Amino acid sequence: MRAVGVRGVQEGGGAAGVRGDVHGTGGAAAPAAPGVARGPAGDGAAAQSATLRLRSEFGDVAVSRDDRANGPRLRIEDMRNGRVIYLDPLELASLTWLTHDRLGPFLDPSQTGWRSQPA
Amino acid sequence: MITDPAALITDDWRVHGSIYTSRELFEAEQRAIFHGPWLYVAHESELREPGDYKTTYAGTQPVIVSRGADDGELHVMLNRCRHRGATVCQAERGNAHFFRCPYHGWTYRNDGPLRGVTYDDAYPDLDRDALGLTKLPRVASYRGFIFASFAPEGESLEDYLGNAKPYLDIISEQGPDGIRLSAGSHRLTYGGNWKLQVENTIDNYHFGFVHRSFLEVLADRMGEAPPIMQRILFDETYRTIDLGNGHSVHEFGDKRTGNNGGQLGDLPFNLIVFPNLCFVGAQLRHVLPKAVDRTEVRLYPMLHDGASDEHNAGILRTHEGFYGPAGMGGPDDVEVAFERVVDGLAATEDDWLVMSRGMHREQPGENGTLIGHSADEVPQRAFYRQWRRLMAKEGVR
Repeated sequence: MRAVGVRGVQEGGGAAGVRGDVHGTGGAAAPAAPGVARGPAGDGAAAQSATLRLRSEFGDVAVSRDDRANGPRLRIEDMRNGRVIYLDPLELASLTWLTHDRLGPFLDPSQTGWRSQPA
Repeated sequence: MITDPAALITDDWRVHGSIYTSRELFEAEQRAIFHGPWLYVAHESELREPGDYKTTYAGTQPVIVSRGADDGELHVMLNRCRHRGATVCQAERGNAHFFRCPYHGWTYRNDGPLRGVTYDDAYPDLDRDALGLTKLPRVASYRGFIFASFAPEGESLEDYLGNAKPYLDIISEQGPDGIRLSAGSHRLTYGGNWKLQVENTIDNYHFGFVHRSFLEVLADRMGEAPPIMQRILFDETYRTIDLGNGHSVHEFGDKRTGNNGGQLGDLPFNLIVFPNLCFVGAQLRHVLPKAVDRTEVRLYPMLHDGASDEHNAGILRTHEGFYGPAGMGGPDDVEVAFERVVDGLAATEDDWLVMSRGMHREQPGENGTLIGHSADEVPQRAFYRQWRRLMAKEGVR
């Protein structure tokens, strides 16, 4: 298990993918898509809050507040493959209007990490 | 081999040993008793938030009980991926709005619909709408106790529970704000038939024998033997009742205020809700048939919502003291009431058991009930009356 501490989650490949499906991008570290950042490896000690780790039998993510940009963002890292996304307050506020069913397309594995063709 | 289930129980209440040992009868039970009638699956305290789910069994079939992510409704579905059959959820409980099968990644909404498959270009014609998790068609809740049925139509849950309802009312009101199963369960398994555990749930006749060591420890601590057996044998407010529909109860005096000697959290009665839901002491007991000769029992201490942590810790410690793996009572039941019976039933030259104790003194009560003495086999007869009714329709194929 990768260490998670207040000095921030190490970004980049690292041990990512070890626990996933190594034949698919859903399980292995993937190249960054536009708008889906893989944050730079960096210190971030003062700019990133303590990390919350949320795990279930289906997912494993680290969530933290990130203050390295000009405004605060929420940083989410998929601990199974190292992918990272930053969400700003408006995006987060807009999420509250979703139903879980409308999130369904994102939960379709062929639309995310388990595509037959690269996006 | 007797092939007519109705012939396995005689009018003078001899019961044929094959009801515990016949694979054919076990399979018939799965059709007649565990596929159609209402089955307990969960308590609402286990599913308070949208997305909460638990895994359990309806008969031998693995099921997921969930609270819908968006609708907040209760759903019960088979825990079997529609692709290649793996169980989709593994955790005993959790929170998830979508489930992803660990075998090939097929992903379902937590109320059943298939939301996607991995590398879907290989399925140009896949009918996703037809490949949701298989739902049990009827789900209903009574005072927080959730039941499901494989039958799309049939009597209502309230009609089915019938005379057992007032007892479930009392159970649901044990704590200031009700009860909760938040402590989870501990499990025991034994190499015997599931009915042995249900029958043993209300069997005051055995207490002074199987639990003699427990009574001796109490006598050492208290300076005198507790009067449990005297009350079972001579206290007329202690009574067994056939509630109909296979349900039965043993009252330790008044059904609201009675007690069996004052253990913390104990209910004033023991209750069996046919076929496999039992209440004993401060515990909900879910009996899961696995095979004709294999059973898993999940014991859930019922904590009191709104009570102090100290009070609830006391309930847990008391529960563990008797029923836990190193408890003073539960292991004795496993050894004597289950394992020794299994061994004995291998002797089949005269393959009949006697369940007639007290049948001559059963008295009719209100609403079709039958009332007997505390140590009479009224609960066993209540159970097997319903068993015989349901099995007679089924027959053995």
